[in-house]
Amino acid sequence: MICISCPRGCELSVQGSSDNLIVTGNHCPKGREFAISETIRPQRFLTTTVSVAPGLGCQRLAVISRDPIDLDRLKDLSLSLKSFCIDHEIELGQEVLRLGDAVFLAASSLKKEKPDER
Amino acid sequence: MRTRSFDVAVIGSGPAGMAAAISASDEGSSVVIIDREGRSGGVLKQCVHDGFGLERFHKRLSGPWYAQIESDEVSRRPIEVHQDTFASRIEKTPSGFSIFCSSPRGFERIDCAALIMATGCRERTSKQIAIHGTRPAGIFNAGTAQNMVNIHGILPGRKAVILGSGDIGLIMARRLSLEGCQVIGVYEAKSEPSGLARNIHQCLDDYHIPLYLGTTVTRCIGIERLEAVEVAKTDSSMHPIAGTEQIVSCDTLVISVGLIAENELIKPLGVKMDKATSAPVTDQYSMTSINGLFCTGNCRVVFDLVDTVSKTSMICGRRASQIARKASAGPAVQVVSCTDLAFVCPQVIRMPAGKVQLHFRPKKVLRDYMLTASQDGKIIGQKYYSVLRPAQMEDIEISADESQAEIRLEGESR
Repeated sequence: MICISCPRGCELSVQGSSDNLIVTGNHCPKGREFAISETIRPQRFLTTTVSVAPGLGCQRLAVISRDPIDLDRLKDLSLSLKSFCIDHEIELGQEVLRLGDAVFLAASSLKKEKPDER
Repeated sequence: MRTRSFDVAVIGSGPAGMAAAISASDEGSSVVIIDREGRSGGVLKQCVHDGFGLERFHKRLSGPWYAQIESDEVSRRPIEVHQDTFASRIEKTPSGFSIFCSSPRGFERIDCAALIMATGCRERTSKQIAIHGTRPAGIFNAGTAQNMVNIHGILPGRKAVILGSGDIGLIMARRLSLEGCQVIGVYEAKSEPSGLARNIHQCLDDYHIPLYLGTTVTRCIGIERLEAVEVAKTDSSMHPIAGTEQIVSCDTLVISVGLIAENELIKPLGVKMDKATSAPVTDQYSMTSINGLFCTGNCRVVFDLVDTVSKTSMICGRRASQIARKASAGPAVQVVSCTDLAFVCPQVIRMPAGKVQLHFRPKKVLRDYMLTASQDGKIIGQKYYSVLRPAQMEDIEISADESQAEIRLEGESR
């Protein structure tokens, strides 16, 4: 497997049973961590967008899950987020919504548009 | 015409432009950023995936997050940001440069002593690769598809074929899957993937999207809307092999076949170009062959990581501020690349230089490789690479102080 922890992309291999996994090919401790979690329970951060009400400067707000989410849940969660709409100002990193135990943070800020000063 | 004057002007408010503006301002210059869009951030605004900032912030940020951190930094400084402003022409003047812009306030001229181009890159289009057939709706560049989905919330289609295994193509394969579009496969004319290995893993393997190497799209089929594409196997020189054609049903073709540095605005000034990067020749401070004219970020060379773009653009901004206040550029020595490398950037080094990072990509996969930089026969930098891949930009640090002789790169697989 290829490590996704950083751009280096180490080629990892994992041997042994689930209570004693031996990881080789990693150049840092993150590689070992990744290989073990990838073998036992693969998880990813989910990034997507939700819609934004008019007057807040853009049509979509980028969001990112606060914690990694099980790989096999990503698609369903992403589609469920389609029904959300943000209608108020948001700060960078603020919690914007929850879906079960998955918490999503705003990846940019939203400010009310000022009246045109041109 | 309304005219304003600044020490340093920056064209483009993406990560390169913002980093350069911040460091030029911190160095004491009056700075303006000219940006064609309504919101700073450049392409990062639409790169909603994570993995940015690992080197600089030691965090897995998403693109908009990284952009917001940077634009918050810009707004803490006395930097003027002109959004919705389009630079249409640049003239060289005795004291620097004049930029002619159309803005919501009308037509304007901005004068500056030093000019930093941070205009990024464009995607190669379907017109620039030989795809035959009709021209129906449903053919998009990966960046356009990304803009539609992530900025405007529009799904370009329901059943997509992706041509090209560059990182944006791979990322769009995942993004379209997450948005409920069926991605049939990624087709790559070369025998090696163009994108990073980790993107093959997390964008294709995670979503069971097949990657067809040595296969390309040869024809589009459909009148109003794309109905199918014809794909064919390719030979070693990437030409389709007759008799291997297959029809793949789809309503969308996403093209991700490479990026071109965007430098149309400064070509008329007679700036010296490098054929290998299709961008201006620059020194270690990102200054071009024209004194006071800088070119940083993806319009200088197409980088893999925004972290590197920010780092090199900070160096650029600081230097632009010094040049704007009449610092001498210093004598330039050439960096002579070797045949294994696709390009080396910077292409010239201003002396005295001290420690400098050279960025490069290999032409093909090289294993167990030692790269040596020398000047007058003296070794000034050496680095060992267990593997070098064209998809991954690498660097080597050199230390050049004394000699005015050219810097030679030589490498060998051991």
